[in-house]
Amino acid sequence: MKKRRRNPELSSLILDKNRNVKTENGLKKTVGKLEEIFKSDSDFTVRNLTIYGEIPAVIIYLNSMVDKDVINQDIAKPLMNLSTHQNKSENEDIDNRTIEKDEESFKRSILNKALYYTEVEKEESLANIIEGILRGKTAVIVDGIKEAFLLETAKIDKRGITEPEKEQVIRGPREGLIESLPSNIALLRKRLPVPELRLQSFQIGELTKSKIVLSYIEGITNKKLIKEVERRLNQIQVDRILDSGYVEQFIEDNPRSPFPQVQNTERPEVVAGNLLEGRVAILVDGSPAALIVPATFNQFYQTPEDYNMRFIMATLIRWVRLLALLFSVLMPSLYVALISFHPELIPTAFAVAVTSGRSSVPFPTVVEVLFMEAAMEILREATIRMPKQIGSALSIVGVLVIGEAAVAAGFVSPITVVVIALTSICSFATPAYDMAIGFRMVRFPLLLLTGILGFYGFVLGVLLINNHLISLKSFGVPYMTPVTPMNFGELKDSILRAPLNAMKDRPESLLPIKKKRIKTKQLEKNNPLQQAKRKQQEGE
Amino acid sequence: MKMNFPKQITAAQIMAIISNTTIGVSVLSLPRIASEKVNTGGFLVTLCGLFIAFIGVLITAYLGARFPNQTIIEYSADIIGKPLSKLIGILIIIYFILIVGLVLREFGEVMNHSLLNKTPLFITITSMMIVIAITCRNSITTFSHIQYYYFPFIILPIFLMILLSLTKMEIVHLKPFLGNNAEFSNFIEGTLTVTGLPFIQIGIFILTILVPFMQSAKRAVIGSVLGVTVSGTTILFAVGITMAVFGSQEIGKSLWPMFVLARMIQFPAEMLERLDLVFIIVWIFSAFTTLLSGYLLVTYTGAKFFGFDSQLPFTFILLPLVITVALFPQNIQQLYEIGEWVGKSGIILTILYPFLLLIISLLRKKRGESN
Repeated sequence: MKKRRRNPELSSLILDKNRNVKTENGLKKTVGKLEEIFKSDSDFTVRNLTIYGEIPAVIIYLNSMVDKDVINQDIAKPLMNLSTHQNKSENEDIDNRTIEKDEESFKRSILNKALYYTEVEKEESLANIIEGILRGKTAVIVDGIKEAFLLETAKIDKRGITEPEKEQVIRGPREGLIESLPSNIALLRKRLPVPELRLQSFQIGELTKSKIVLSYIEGITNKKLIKEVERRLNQIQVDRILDSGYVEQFIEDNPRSPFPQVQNTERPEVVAGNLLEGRVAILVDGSPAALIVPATFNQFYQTPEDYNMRFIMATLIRWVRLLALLFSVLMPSLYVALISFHPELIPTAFAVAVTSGRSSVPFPTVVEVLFMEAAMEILREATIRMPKQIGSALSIVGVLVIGEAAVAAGFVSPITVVVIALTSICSFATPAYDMAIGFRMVRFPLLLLTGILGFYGFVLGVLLINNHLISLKSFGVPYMTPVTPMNFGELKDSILRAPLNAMKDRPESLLPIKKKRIKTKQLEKNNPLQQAKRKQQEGE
Repeated sequence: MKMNFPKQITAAQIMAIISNTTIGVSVLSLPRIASEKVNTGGFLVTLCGLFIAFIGVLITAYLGARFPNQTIIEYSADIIGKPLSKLIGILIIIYFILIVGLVLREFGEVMNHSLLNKTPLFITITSMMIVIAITCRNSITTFSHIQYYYFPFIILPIFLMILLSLTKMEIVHLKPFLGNNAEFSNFIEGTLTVTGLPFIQIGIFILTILVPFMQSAKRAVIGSVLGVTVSGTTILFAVGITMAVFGSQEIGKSLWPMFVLARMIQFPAEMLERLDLVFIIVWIFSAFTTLLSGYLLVTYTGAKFFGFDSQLPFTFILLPLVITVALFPQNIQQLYEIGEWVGKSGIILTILYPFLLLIISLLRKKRGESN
């Protein structure tokens, strides 16, 4: 772990004060200090015992975070047994006082004969001992030994591995990342059992001390990219990192843009796939969402399933998604532009139908659409947080009020309802939630522009959105990468999803060290049953 | 780490930039302007005008290739000395402010004619200019990405328009090829007018600021040749088809003959009642790309002139100036008169001046540092 510059204004005062305080020989002093720090916290436990029948020792831990069986069986019991065992066999030549004098050999005998535990650290700094205890370690302090032993005994409840709810697939693995960093790393290692998989750890957040792991594949990912991610991570100075969303906002290129420039996923196979393309993943302890950088527009309408399906279907479905994405931004504005500025564009029969539907509506189309869009957003926001039982009731109310009653009351025209409904459905078809929400927000200014300047305003708005998208960058990679700047190799995995065979190289815009990834040639096809049949016939 | 390499513009992007820039709103009126003096010879006049523009682009490209790390403001000082180059530099900036203003005005007129009949011209012009100024704040590499992105949206619909109106074409309208009783002086004048059209001028000169950002300056030549060829073919086809459909007599009657052509087109499956508004999108896009190039040219050259590194300080300062120029002509007639005069005299600055620079640099054996 890299040493980070500490920020005294943000970090814990007690820890900083004890940073340079060393433990001393006397057991009582150290324990006294620890008791002073933890005061009477309910889970703070100090267990006194004696080694060799007379040397006092203590076991200190927070009983809320440790595995008590381990402490009983593997720490307390052997330590206490040590005395009897030692006394029986060696009481003649080993005088307790000599052990006390020879601190080194005493330490060794405890480590070798009693604490047969895999993860033991010897720690002198009081602050580190406190931090260890706070992370669920158990401190063993023995009178006469200067350092304390810190044993990994943490046992914190975590949920089981389930399928991530926001990225469900029909065909594909059902495993999802969870809140525990070690489990996530295990899920990743399981998919990439190569020594090149690097997991570089950071600790960010002065008070939450969140563990963050930067992972990439050595020999594939561009080194400069890794350096840049490291640099950006090291620049974060904040008291908390409670989720990977915090990290995302600190490292993205343009925080003022409505569009996400960092991809997040809860699927380990997506993380693995992106690592294999030459990207970098950031895992945050306590967050089930891994971050993937650099992320371009291209990645936000793809799903992991695209690669599990046969390529024609995958390509078609991608087109459907892109269409939905476009519709979700453009439809309401286009509708307003056509109805209230250029009705001459619509076929006459339809125009008549539209006007007759609108005859009782008191507002101009813009106001009508804006109002309905706002209502739709409210409805969506309301249903997300509701418990499922109320949620269904809410959607019935929404359907009735917005669909039927509003039209019947002459509040909105039926075609407006159709347009709004289509728009919302389209925005739900985008697989990446943050991209969908970005586009949903962008559609309001576009609607206003169209309301003011008509079709012209609409085109101006589209120009602005396009130009903004093109000018965005994610870790230096232009956001619209395979389209502009054009890159034929990558174009195969954007609007199209070319056959796996055809996507021979890793994305060029990421400048991977190793470029080739597929060498399978066209399959040679034999017909085994035909051959068998022929053989049979020949035999007859 | 800076992952944005400064030298990134490819030949394909140069192609897109040049053809996007040279296809502007003015193409709408080009058939009328070309056939004004030589009636049916308009096609030939356009061809000649574009050929001169082609040579102009070649000159600036070669000049750029000789000085791969400098813009015209910088290398002209090396070639002809500081005082003279500064003087001409000022002229160039003023000239392009005028040009951008005129293109902007023409665009505003087209918009007010087709979409926003009751909106004041000022609003149309200002809103467009604000979009351009915002976009202009990006780096030059991003500028080329933006241009590249719009390239298919401009070229393909125009070819679609040509394709859809092929049925209405009558070759008779194009004959005689040399024009009815057209004199040679008329030809020269017509040719110069076409070359002097503001969007072509911007297209020629935009190269002078792009070359320092190119992957290799030599590819600038390839890219610009391709660009002019693509846009030249498109413009020629469009002008030819408009003339072939209407005939030179009819063309003289409307301000924007190509716009009328778009209005006549009907899509086989009648999804939309009229298609001309769809083509309006194309013209807005093409006006945007032309104006973006022009405005970037003005701001970047201005920034270089005053010794700045990027165009950022000028993107909003020059806005009122350009809008004022755009609002100056009293009516469309005056707009086209001023435009013709300014454009024709501008040929001295945009083609003759670089040509002289090239000759002098060859004679004095001046060369920029190559990397």
